[in-house]
Amino acid sequence: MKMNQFVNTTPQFRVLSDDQIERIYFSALEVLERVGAEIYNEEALDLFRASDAVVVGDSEARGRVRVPPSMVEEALNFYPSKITLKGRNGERSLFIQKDSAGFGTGSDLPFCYDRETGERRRTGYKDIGMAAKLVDALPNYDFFMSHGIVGDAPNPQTYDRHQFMAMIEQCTKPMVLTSVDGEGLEDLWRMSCLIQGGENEFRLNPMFVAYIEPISPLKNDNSAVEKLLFAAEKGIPAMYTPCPSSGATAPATLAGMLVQSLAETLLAVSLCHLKKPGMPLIMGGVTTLLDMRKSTYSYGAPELALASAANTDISKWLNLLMFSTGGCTDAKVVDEQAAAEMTTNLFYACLSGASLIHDVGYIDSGTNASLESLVLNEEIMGMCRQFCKGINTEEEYLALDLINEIGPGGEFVTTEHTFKHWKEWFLPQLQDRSDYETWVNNGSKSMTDRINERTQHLLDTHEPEPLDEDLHKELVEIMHRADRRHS
Amino acid sequence: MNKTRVNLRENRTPQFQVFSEDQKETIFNGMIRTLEHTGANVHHEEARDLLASNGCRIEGKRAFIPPHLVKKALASLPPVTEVFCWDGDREKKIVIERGRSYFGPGPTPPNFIDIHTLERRPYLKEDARIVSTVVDALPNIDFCESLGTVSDVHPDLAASYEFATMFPNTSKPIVAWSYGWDDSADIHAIAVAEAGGQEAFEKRPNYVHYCEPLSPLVSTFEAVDKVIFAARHGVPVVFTTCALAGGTAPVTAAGIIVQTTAESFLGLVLAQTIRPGLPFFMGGVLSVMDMNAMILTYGAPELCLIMAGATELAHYVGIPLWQTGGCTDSKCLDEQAALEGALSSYFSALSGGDLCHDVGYTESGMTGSIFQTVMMDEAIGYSRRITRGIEVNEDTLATDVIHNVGPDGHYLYEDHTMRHFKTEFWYPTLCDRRNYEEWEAAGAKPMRQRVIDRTHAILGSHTPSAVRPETVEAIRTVMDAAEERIRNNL
Repeated sequence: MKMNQFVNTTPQFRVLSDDQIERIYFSALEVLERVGAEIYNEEALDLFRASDAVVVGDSEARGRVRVPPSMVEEALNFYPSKITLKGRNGERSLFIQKDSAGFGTGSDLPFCYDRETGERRRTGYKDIGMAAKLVDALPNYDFFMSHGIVGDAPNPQTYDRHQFMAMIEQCTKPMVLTSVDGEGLEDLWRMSCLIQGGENEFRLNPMFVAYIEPISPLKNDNSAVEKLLFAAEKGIPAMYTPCPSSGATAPATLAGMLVQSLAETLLAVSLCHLKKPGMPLIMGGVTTLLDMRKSTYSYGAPELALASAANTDISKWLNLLMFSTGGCTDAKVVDEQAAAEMTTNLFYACLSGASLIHDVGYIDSGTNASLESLVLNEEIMGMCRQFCKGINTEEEYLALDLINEIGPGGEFVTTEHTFKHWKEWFLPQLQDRSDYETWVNNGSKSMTDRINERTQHLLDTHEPEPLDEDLHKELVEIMHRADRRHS
Repeated sequence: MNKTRVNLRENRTPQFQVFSEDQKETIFNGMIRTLEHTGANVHHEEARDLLASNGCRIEGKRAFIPPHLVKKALASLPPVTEVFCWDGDREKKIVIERGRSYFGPGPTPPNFIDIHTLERRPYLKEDARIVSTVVDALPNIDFCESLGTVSDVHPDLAASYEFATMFPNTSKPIVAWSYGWDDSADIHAIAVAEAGGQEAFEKRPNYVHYCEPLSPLVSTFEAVDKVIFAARHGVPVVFTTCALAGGTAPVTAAGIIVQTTAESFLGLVLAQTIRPGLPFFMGGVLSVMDMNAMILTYGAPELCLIMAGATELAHYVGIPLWQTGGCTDSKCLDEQAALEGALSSYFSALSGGDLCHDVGYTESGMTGSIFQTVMMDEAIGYSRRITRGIEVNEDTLATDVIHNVGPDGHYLYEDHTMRHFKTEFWYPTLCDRRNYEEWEAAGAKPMRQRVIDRTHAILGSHTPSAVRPETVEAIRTVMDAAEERIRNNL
């Protein structure tokens, strides 16, 4: 037995040093002090007016808020470092905490390829159900966002309730939900409290996190702020996720984009604290670039992977939880580009230790949904998890006696040691490792073929645990009430 | 304004580690104990004599290496090694030192994907020309290997023809593979002719030699003979094993690293005994044996993990590493080929593998594919953007720019954007970022088609540098003599 050993039980990955993070943080404080942010919400402006912040506004409902560092730093002390989510089946399955990657989809994609005709078309209720079913079936997904958008809802003002219904009908896992506005979020929260058996149950182990985003640079519109304030009041976990594009809505340097994005986050940190201390706020960010040549907000660029990992470094330094991005691509179809880009950004997000990793399965730069991409990513996430187990260097694993016993020219296939440990390896489901002849005899299938087969198989066979019928009726009633209000 | 900063420590590039210092020491000590107590079989009398005269214990074919000899060999390694392009291109020369990674294809698969029919068939001499020409043109591929064993010449001359064909088609350093002494000499004669003599070659070596012992712990006659050849002629040498965890090495990652490092160290001690200071690379391809297919997997996540660990160990003791990346178990150009190849490329770069080979291996090393190499050129470019990291300074932090733009503005026409967008961002060649409509209008091509198109475009347009007329003559003379040698042996 060795003494005084320092062992990496998992791989270590970091982009920024503490000093670099500190510089970015100081710069973000500088931005909040000097530039501030625009807020289009009366209640938020009132809260800031009653604080040490400086508010300059041309109306009651619109103003520029500049926040002193002391307010930010006081607020930073109050956010929880752990949130445990429950699925609708009551399983406490998603532990949102530092360095434990939870994987999930993205939301609200307008298009998909129809599985029957192959045509590109708008997504609807049924498509969200199918994505929900796959996510429910695939073990590496920890949470579900809608993937597509319910484009066939009766009213765009209430689509979020319909979307949530499509999701919970087919998926038991915890969720991250988008909502139209504060009222929408309230309905989603009511529906969840109904499922979970009350407000306090929800507050203790919520079944969803609210997805909210500011508008870069430094603008907070009314609906986003409404949602944020409602979440703070009810203790709904929420991520305030800037989606800056370096070069267009943020500086063309990654460091500059991180500064601005952090300033946007810290504004929410201050605001939520003024509303009600202790809300489970999660830091977020889809930090990528605008491809200047193709005018694309890129989901496949290495800069996305790099800046996201750096952002996670910053979140850990601030002791905030991180909602990061991975498993997404600019490729228009599930092809080699999709596979390569999704693999990288997933691995970097996972290695960086982000608490939640979303947008898994996005293709076409965040415009196209793809069930096949969800299935492909299941394999890649499995590889991430395997890689992150690291290398064990205990005596048993060093195997010095075994090497000595087998000696030069021997073999290890038949040893007890091999038999005992080989199952610790990754067992691929979609990657083919057969020899050439076997592969030809099995029909020379490419991975595309295997992904399609597996997707169809899961859609045909997986039966998610059904929702209680009475509960289902009550949920539908909340949804219909909203429809009536807005008709 | 007070912009002076002091006491800053910055990550110039991302930091990635599998092992702690203590773990590296544990593995290194395990390797030392293995070399001392288990030893390795050396199927080469002269080598055994050399080792014996230097203080190794020899019992039959088994050589046991004492720790002080290992330390001596490590101490005599050069801290930095340069491998030159024969056309004098300074940009493309390879500088081996910690923190730099270079990529290239691998040697010897029996099959090749025909670039016109896209069918798998035996590797031909013409393929060596194709591979070397494309490698010469690809911006992220730094050294050359053939991706195959030439099947349409006399088998004993496969390596000589391979090198003779590749050498004039790429000035990027070749990592040469050969069967033994004779073809090693053919290869060396060609390289020396271009360098302008043995003395000039030793000052500016323009290729690296590749040798492969067997696992577990066997140094074959050929592998050792080639090390001796390389050492006597001042050729930087790779001594690399391809071990299968659970087959020819322990099933555990730590175990396979211990054993294969011991295998490489035998070559190291021998090489440094003959020529102290000879540039030496330890290897190799350390992956798991798939228990269903009974093959060495080139696409497993364990390959990336074990190779990253091996790289850290190599750098801990100060030896450059022959890494593995850009390879796949897939039988065709598909998502599997892309994701597996991309993954091992990323981790080769992230761990800082010195020479990362097998870019273009498909079907678990049974088939070479230049398409895979071309596709991976993009993945390597991508990983090089990642390993460049994020620069943090007053200018990049951009607080003034953020102030000037203000909430709800945009940065498109800022001077700061104009100054940075070309260098801060990486622009892909094969990955498509057009919008759907433009992509559809351009033929809705998946990446595999763009890879094939790019390969053909390179072959249609790229002209490598020209070797000296003396070299053309030397290649002819060497190959005529080689054919003569085969005829005389019949």
